[in-house]
Amino acid sequence: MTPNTGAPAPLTALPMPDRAGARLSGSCDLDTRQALSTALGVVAGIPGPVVHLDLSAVVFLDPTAVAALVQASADLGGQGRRLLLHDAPYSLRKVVEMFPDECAALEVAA
Amino acid sequence: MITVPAPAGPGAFVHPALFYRDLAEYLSGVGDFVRTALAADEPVLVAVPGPRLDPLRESLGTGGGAGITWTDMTELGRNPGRVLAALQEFADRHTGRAARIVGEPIWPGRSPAEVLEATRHEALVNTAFAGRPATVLCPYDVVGLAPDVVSDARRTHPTSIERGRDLPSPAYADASALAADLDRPLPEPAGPVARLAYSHGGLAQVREYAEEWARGTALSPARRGDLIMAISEAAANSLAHGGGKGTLRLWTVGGPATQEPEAVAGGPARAVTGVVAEIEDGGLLADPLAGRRRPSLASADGGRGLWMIHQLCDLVEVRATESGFTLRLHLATR
Repeated sequence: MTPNTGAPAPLTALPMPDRAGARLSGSCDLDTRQALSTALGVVAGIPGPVVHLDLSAVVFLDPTAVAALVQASADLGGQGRRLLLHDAPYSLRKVVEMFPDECAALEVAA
Repeated sequence: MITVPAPAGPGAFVHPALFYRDLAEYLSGVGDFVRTALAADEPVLVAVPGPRLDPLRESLGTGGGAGITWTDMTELGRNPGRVLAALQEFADRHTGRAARIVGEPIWPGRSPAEVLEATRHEALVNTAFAGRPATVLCPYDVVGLAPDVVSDARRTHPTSIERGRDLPSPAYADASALAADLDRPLPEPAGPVARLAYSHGGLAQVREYAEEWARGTALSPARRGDLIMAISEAAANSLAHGGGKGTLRLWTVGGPATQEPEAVAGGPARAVTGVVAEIEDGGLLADPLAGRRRPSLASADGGRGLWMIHQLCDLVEVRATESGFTLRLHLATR
């Protein structure tokens, strides 16, 4: 097979219709680092005491992406607000399991 | 009576091999080491194969086990690449006190690939603990292990305790000298191999390709997830540190296939016992200790990915040569 030289699989964020938050779609890795950073910047600007992040359409998050979620959660926490994650994929749950102390502040809805 | 290594001076690291011939020698050698450490109120970690744990506990007697951290090495050290991080974590938890560790990463029955990576671990213990006030005593079953395994233990340990005598090991060599021997070519897989080349922008495709392939194996969904994470970390390291591109190869392994050539040549279906993912790129392993110490989640060097790979896999074969860097990730399917 020839080397893949195509564009990275896109990472997109859309506002949630029914509550304050956004729905991410795609993969969060080295190839989509900037897109995640931009998306989380938009999410942080959504008003309200709780900001929801729907991850049901995210197939994969690498540890740097999880670290970015931890940072986003801490930033909102500093404002007296919360970031609540929904439908975390296996990769996120596994990273949380491997780095429990650093991910302790992440709120993942059951 | 077996001589216990003399108490180390400040800052001294001691790493003896304990060559034992039977359980009595084992219990005497390890037991004396542990009792001496406990008497000095030093923290003790005993990481040995499960079947050795109970006899040791019994021989230390009532209350002898208090203050000891016990670990089954067949679990911790199933992948030898995980062990060094665990030993350093134990020493780190007791900063200011000399950690006394019994580590037995090689036991009869381990595969040659596991023994090689465990030997690499033993060599790197000297590098990782240099200058730290600690002792790592490594028992070797000289009756059950092959002679070349025992010979290599003489190269990875500055001293050895044998028949009650604690002596310098003339064969001792530092980790860089051993690495040249350990980074020997890997055998080519016997059966069909799936292959994908990747470069920047291709990480999602690497995961999709591996996921689709892994669905055809007996890996559980969770272990499939672990495999994909490990492959993704390795491929991301290729992009960041390995020249920006690499090659993924995937195949299954089965016990009978390696011993019965007719099973490969269209004979009876072989029993698949595991999967292998190989990631090869043009990288250099600048730090041989990369991935052998618990990283922080936020760290951005290649060590975090390698550490995760070691945690996720049952065995990681590492080869760093002038032509590039290769990781073979093994996950058992049963």
